[in-house]
Parts: sequence; C-alpha cells; structure tokens
Amino acid sequence: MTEQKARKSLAYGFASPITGAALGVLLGLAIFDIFDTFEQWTVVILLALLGASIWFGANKSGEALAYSNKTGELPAAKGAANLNSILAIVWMAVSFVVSITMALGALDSFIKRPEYNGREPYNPGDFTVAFDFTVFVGEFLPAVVIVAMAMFGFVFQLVATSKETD
Amino acid sequence: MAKPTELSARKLSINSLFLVAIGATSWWAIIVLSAYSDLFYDDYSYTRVEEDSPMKGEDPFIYYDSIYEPVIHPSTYLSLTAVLVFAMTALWARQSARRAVKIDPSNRLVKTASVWSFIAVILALVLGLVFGFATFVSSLAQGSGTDPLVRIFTTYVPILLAAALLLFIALRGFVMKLEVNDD
Repeated sequence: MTEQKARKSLAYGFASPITGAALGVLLGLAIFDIFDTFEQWTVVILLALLGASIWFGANKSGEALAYSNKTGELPAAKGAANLNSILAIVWMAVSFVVSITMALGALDSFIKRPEYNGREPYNPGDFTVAFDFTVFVGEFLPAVVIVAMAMFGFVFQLVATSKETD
Repeated sequence: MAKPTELSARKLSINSLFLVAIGATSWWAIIVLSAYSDLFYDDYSYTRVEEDSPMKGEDPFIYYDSIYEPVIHPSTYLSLTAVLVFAMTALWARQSARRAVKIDPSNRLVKTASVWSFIAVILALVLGLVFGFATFVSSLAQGSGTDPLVRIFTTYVPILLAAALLLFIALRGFVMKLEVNDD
C-alpha cells in the first residue's frame, strides 16, 4: 500500500462512521416526517446503516493502521481505529438494549384481552396468549434481526480494526 | 478440536470473539423465552365478588378480588440457564483467547479477544450475582407464609444453584486456568 492510499483509507476511517450516523439520523427523521410513524423495521434499517458505516470505517482504519505499524508513519491511524472500536461498542450496546426491549414489547402484544363493555368489572386474569403472525413479523422478528446483527456485526467490526497486513 | 499450535493466534481470537457473541445471543434468546413462559404463570388468581349495595334498590357492587398464591415459575430456572450458557461460552472464549495470547501476545486482535473474553467472564459473574440478589429480594416480598415446597423451589434452590454457578465461574475463570506466560 502506498502512502497516498493509506491516507485515503485513514480519511475514510474517520469520515465513514460520522457520515453514516448523520445519514441515519436524517433518514429516520425523514421517515417519521413523511409517514408519521416509526416502525420496528425502520429501526432495523437505521441500525444496519449505522453498523455498516462503522464496519466500513473500521475496515479502512484497520488498513491505515497496518500501514502505520509497518512504516511508522500516519500516527493518526491508531486514533481512527480506536474511534471505530469505541463506536462499535456503543453501537453494539445500544442495538442489544433496543432488541431486548423490542422483543419483550412484542411478547406483550401476544396477549389478547376481551373488549371492555363498561358493564362488567375489569378482570385482570381474563386474557389469552395467542400467536399472531403479524405481531411476530412486525415486532418480534426485527428484534431477532437486530440482536444477531449487533452481536455478529460487532465481531466483524473488531476484526476489521485489527488487520495485520494491508 | 485441533491443538492450539495448529491454529493461528488470529483464528483463535476470532473464535473467542464469536463465542462471546454466541453466548450473548443465547442469553438474549433464553431471557425472551423465560419472559414468554411468565405469561402462562401468574402468582395471583382472581375471583368475582358480589357485594350488596349499602343503599337499598341499587345494583350490587361487583369486582374481582385478587388472591396471592405463589407458584413455581419456569422463568426462574430459564433465567439461571441463560446465565449458565453465557458463562460457559465466556469461559470457553477466555480459554481460546489465552491460547492465542500464548502464541502471539503482541497481536492487536489477540489483545482485543483477551479483553472481551475477560469482560464476558466478569459480566457472567455480575449476571449471576444480579440473579441471586433479585431472587432473594423477591423472596422477601413473597412473605414467609407460602407453601414450603413452592418456597424451596422458588427461592432456596435457585439461590443455591446461582451460588454454585458463581463459584464455578470464579474458580474456572481465575484459578483453574490454562498456564500461560502473559496474563
């Protein structure tokens, strides 16, 4: 790898997660403003976009770091690799919390209570737990996708920042 | 399984990181399953009560009275299983990372795997501790007048199992570990 290429990789390493985060926030806001709703699959897309931008940044900063380790030049490469590692940790933690909250919320949606007619008193024990395909696909499945993406994406991000050769 | 020397430090480190990820995902899945099982077990039963109105000619006063009857929740044991699975994968990941450290201690990925496997073991200890403490606190809220069999299987046995698990993690993670030059 030439110095010019290494510098380019370093620039991508710093720019990619920042650009990804900004794009994710703007896209989320646009979806909310246009459709006036924020569905679970939208969260999946936004987290995937953010994760991919961090992975790309980690990959590029890893390349720059490998060049830096070999030549002793570009000391900022370590900073970029550390930045992407920290962002990967934050992304993984946030995604994990979001996924478990989403999954537990989806479980509550499987509970079906009878219509309240106003004459009978409320009975807290009167409910059934029934499988609902719409709830499963719309609320539970996104949580499964997020947790898998967070855990395994995190490993790929960490591996990307630790390249030995460019 | 191949001997440590046959595998590169990098491959061992990747295996270690994947083991931590598998453990965390399994913990997530079992915790969600335990929350789902809780939907079918309620410590309260509800009976319809009809009381005469104090004013003559008015409709009787009807409501559902809750009766507290604690039952053994499978979620208690499922939560403990979640901690157990996470702890086992964390210990396995730690062992793998320590082998990688023995081969190439200066490698960045090896250092990362070593740190994350250590964090996973500590996290497993914390989860076990939180489980034990939560079971103890909920047993205080349950009161002492519960059916002895239910009491034993909802509080005493889980706390005992959690203590045994914590002891195992601590000994396996920090005392009976693989001999390596660099810790």
